[in-house]
Amino acid sequence: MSVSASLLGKVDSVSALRCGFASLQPISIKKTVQKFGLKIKTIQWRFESTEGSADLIKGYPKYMKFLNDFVMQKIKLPSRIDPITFSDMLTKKAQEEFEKDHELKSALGKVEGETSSARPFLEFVCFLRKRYEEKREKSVLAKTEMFSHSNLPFSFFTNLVMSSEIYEGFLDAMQRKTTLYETMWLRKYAGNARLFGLKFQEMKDSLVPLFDVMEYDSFLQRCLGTLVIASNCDSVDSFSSLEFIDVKKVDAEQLTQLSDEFRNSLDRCVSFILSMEPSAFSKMPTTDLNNVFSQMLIQ
Amino acid sequence: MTSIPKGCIFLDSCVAFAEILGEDPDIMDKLKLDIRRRGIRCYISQSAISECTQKLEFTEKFFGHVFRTFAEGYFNNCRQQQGKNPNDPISKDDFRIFASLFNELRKTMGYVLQKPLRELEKKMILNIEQILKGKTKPDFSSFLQGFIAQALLLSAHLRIQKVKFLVNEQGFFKKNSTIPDVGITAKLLANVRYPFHKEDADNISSAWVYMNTSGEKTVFASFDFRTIISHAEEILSLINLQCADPLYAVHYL
Repeated sequence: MSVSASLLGKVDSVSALRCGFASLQPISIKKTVQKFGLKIKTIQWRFESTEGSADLIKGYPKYMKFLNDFVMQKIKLPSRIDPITFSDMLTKKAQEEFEKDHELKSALGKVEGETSSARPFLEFVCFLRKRYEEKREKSVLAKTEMFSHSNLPFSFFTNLVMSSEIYEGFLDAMQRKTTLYETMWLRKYAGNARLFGLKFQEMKDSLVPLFDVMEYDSFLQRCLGTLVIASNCDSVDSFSSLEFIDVKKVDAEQLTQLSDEFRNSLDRCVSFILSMEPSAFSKMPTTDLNNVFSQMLIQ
Repeated sequence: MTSIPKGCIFLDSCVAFAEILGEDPDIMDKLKLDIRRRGIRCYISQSAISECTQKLEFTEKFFGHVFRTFAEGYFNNCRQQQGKNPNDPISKDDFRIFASLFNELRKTMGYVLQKPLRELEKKMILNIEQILKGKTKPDFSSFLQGFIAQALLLSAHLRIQKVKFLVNEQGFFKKNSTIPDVGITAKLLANVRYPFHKEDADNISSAWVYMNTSGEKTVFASFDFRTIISHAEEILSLINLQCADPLYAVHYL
């Protein structure tokens, strides 16, 4: 069994959402159509990437390369691991995973399609939310399996699970905000290029800070995962065949520093989401262990 | 005309956790209702917030230790000693292994961990009893992973709730930045009978500082009978601050 995959985060993470959102710009397309013998002018909208010719699907691997290169600047790997080769290999893996993920590619493709509202983006958020719900149990179990195949502290995995649970709150916040803009303004201003553009930009501006805090959290998780995995690899090629992660092989100072930074970043994300959506994170899970926790904490 | 102070309640970390975990809902609902009706201020001190963080870290270490003991082959070794295959599904023969494993764990743990460990043991054993009644019987690894997953999920959510209540102040109590008085903390530690800890002394000392700087009648509310409520009279005679169970807290104001 390979323990490396879940440590580096999945393609349906904040990065995918950022890719499907942050670079979008509404472009108006004016058409004249013949209807009942009359010439009718229509305005439609297309969301285009602000990065010139790059489209969203091509943009994702580029974005992952940018992230992985940035990770290599943040962490110091053992001398036997070349950071450039390791970064390229991680990008290649992410790209392969993305290529296999037809569902995600198709959902991203729809965001690019012609439309007269923010609906495709909203649907993309809903798609990611549904996918998260379906994979939630599997994702927690993958972390428990990693716990059993490592001697990393329990808190390391609590951070990872917390990050996933925050991602759910993040998607909910995105969904609510986008729905609000869609129903209140964007649908109404579909025929008015200037107002539609203004409101769309306003929606983006209000969501970008949320992306920023979430993405930093995702980046730190990637740094931690990369550090832990690379430290346990004899060579770049042994990346996917790791069967056990030994904490003793990881530089303790870097691990502590990154773990603290990651934990603080998780708290910041929760705080930010709550300031946007005070009703977020209102449910505590009910499990067989609630009583054990109560006895630990209320005494 | 000066307004009459309505009083103030400082919360111990255990009361904050009772609110977060939804424990003792009758008492907590009554406390919240009384606070709202009477317009009483309700605070949690910086030292109690730090204690919350420490308790969460301690809880994670407890689970890490227990599950690590299970996961690191102890169970499999016991099975091998009994001449059985480690990967076989869970069977009634495994009860004896669990009994000896929990006994070993009990020997390594202090007083405060005995009850939670017993609760975890009870949950695991009753779960196995249920599994054995069913048709599909998982192997030990899958069984254990189910419990690790629950512990991870709850730990993660408790940390989220900690931010919600103690950073964003989305509960019925607010943060208070009062710093404990070193002299009062020392006085409490020197005079209150064991069991009484530095964290308890700091939390009570913070409430004392607030009471003396604001002039408001202040009560320190705690569910902790063993270390705090059982010493309420000693503390009152030492520093003139009332400690009370949340059930009675407002009646001392």
